[in-house]
Amino acid sequence: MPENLFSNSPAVWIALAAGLLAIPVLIHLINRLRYRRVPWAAMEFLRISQRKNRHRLWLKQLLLLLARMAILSVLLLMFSHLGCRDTSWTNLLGRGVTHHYLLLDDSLSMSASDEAGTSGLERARQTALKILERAQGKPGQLLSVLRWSQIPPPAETAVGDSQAPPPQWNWQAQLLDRQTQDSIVKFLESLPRSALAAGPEPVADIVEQAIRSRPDETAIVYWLSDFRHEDWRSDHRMPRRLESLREVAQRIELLRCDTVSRENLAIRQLRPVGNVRAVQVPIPFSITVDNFGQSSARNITVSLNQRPISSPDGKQIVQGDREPLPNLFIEEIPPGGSVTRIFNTAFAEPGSYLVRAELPTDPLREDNLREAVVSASPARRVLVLEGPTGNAAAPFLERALGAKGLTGIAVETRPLDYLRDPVDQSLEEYDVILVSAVASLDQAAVGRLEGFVERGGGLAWFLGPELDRAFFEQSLYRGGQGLFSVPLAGPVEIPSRGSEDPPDVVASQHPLLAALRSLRNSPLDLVQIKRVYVPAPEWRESREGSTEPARDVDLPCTLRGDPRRPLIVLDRFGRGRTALVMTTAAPTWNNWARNPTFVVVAMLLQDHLAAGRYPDEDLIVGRAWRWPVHPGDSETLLLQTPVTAERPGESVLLEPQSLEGGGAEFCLSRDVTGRCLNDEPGVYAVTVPAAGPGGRTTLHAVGVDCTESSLETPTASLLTARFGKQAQVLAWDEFHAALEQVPASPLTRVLLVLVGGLLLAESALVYLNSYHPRSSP
Amino acid sequence: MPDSKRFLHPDALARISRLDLRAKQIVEGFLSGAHRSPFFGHSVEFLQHREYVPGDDLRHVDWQVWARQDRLVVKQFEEETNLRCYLLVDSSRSMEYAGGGISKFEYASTLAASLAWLVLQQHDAVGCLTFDDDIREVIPASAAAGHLPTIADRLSRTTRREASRWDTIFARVAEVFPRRGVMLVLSDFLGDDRQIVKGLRTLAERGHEIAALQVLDDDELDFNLEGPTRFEDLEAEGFLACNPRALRDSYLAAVQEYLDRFRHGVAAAGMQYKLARTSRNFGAVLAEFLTEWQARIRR
Repeated sequence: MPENLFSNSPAVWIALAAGLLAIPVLIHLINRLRYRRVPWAAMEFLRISQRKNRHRLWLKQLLLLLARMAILSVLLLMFSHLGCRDTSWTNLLGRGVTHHYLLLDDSLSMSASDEAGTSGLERARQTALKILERAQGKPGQLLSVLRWSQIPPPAETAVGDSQAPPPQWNWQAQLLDRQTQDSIVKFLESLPRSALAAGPEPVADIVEQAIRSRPDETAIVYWLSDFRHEDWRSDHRMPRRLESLREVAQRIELLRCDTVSRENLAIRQLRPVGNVRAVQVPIPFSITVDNFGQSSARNITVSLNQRPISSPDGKQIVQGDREPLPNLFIEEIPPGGSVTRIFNTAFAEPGSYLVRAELPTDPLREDNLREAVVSASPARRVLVLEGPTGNAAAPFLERALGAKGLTGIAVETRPLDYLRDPVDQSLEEYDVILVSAVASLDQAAVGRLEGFVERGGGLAWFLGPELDRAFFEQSLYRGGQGLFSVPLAGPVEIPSRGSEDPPDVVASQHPLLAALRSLRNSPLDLVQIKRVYVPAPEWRESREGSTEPARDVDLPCTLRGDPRRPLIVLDRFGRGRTALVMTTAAPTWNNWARNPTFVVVAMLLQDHLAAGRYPDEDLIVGRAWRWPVHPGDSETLLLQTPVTAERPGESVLLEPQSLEGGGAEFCLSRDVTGRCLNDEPGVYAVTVPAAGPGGRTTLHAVGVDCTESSLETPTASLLTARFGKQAQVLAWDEFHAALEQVPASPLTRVLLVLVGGLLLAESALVYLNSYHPRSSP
Repeated sequence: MPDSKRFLHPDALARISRLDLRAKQIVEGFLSGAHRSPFFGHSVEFLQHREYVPGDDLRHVDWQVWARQDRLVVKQFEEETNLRCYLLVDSSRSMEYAGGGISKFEYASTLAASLAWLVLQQHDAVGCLTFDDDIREVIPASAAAGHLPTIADRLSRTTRREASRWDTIFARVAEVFPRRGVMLVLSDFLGDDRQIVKGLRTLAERGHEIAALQVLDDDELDFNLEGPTRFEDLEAEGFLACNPRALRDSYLAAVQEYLDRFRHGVAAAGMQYKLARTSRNFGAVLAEFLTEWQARIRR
């Protein structure tokens, strides 16, 4: 049952149709009963006449009746939404409230400017004023305005809280009187740009929902957007969404506020490479530049600089002097391609530094700039825990990692007793803990290690002859739920390598040791493994015939290339990472510690394990951010937003939210009013006050979402071909305040022709059924 | 239209309740016009000669012709009495129909009274008879000056109406008026036209000069009725419900066919025919009728 003007109830519709169709029948019957009595003498002539005309008269009457019923039927169809799309019809029937829905795309791409400096947002603003003018002065005009940036992206609503904030209409169903119009004009004139990414799909859902909730109104939907190819391409879901919207809206207008596809370069990523952030050592950065244009970009100069943004102790935010870095030069980026370059930075003093990369000006300026915050400490600390048996691995590890202060890593060796004290907070000062020659630990120590790794620390355990297998099974493996997910068997003796055998240590494709694979005459080939632990048979059987690493673990190197006998098993536990080394660190079961590659492997392993200390390095505006609540943290988190030219920074207190699996986290997403607190790129300060004095403040650089950087827009003809059935496509300068009459739909045309034909037939039948004197000759 | 004729319109005359006065009004208005009565000069005695046949009365032999031409001829004479005019007025139920104002019976009665006045003005005798399925009123012919009120009074009081019986009525009339004369039949003649013509022919065969004045209403002739109508038969049980618009063409065709057939039947029998619409003024109808009658006599 189609929706009709009068009611959504099928019963009412059917009753109405039946009642209307019964009218001509009733009139016909009443006319037959309403006879005038006339005494008549010349009856014989009447009888003769009636005998001659009986069948013809009956047929004419029947045809007349059917014609009138058909006219009413077609009129009913036209008045219903099946055939009637013209507001004049609906106004005639008293459905005179017209609701204008302005869907204003204020996403980042609308800030792209043309040569004259006019942005799509400015054109949208002018068009919106024209729409207001269109509605001006007419009775029963309602207006709703929705900025796309007000709507959370689908990803956020999907993974975020179950109670997503409701969409916030800037104006919702406001009667367009003089006062409201003035307010809306002021709002449009001061419409702020937004750095957020926003797509049309959630907008379509929201506006459709709004229209369906107000079925008595005539809805006209105006989409003011640049209609980027990314959002409106044909394989996208928008055609279906618009079709669904067309069922409830009387009219949809797609108003193109940018009609030209523009070339655009964007810095998609800027982040430190590696996880040793210390002073006096080079800290490499990776920068990725994307070309979103249709032609190659050549000779691109990326300007770089750095400046301190915190005091050396990290407790005060400062605005240090900008120190230029050597520019990066990129010869060419193909259309649709990207180029990644590495450059080095170095800092003399500890503290937080802001590294900035900037591209030459192009249509979209916001994505030409990218910043990254790096916190440089005097040295990154590594803790070596060595068992009492004294296999002397610590000196090798200290020498490999410390390298006399040149690596930025400070190695501290402590006995196992260190774990017996309540040292959770002290452990947090270390990036990585290396455990060697340990037979077992008590449960408290294991718990502390698990907490350390869970919170982002790295742990490497070197197995050796001292290991208590039962302890490993019960405390470290714990049925796959412990720090290490590989059960052990052995240890096993490794026979000497034959001339045809591969080297004892074979690096896999894993990035950790991939660099060692390509070496000719690699020193790694000289490493001899005499004794190792191997995974338990069930694990090995699951690896039978498989050359790929297990699903949840990584195997950077194996014994003689056999994936069932890994030498290092990389795993994750909470936010941190673990490494299980199947042989000793000291040259007890192998001679690796005496091999030059031991230094490389130790450095790479430390870097890999420390990665859990640096999450959230690529924060994007508008997306939900999360920080774990650590033991000893206070009940609130203080967020300070950046100061921009448009608005001052503000401080926001966040409450922790409980997680389903236990624990808690601070989450920054839209508030209950739908307001986005992290909608500006820049440096945000996050302070977690400690329960006692102090607390820790971290700084985060936030960039724009490069999904908005593609400024390719389809041509008008392409857009019309995609959406012409559902909507009218107009460029912003083609839109006029005077409402154009919508051409009648094919169905309406057919119905109109049908009504005309039926009226002619009815008139002809009436003429045939009545008397018309012949003109006298 | 002269003032005298203006008053001859049926609607105006209907206001005169006495029929004799109504007739006098009509005829005086009519006589003041250009027309003269065709009934003048009927006192001539000699009519014609014919050959003598054995058995003829010798008193009627013209001896002067025998003396000059030596052959026997007989002189034929007109009756020596004045003209006898019989007015036969149909008083059946079908004559009750009155579409707009005056009914067909009233119209026929008025015409009959007017003709009676005319005849009496000539000092001729006039008689009257009303009929439906039988003879209802009979007024013998008389030339007395006070005869008109009698005729008018009897016509006015005629109320009993039944359906016409055309198959027998004229034979009965012939018995009532055996003496030859001019017989003017005023009726709507709605019935079997063959039977009607046959009846009129019976009268003609008895030596009467017959004139048929068919009185019909405009509704019956034009059928300009509107809206759903239930036609109820005036002379029989039964009705017919219809939209008159739808039947009009074929109705008019049937009426015209009937009138043509009847007119031809009457003419073929050597009788005078005149159609009188009840909407027409009496003077015009009388003038036309008498003009046509005079022309027929001259032929």
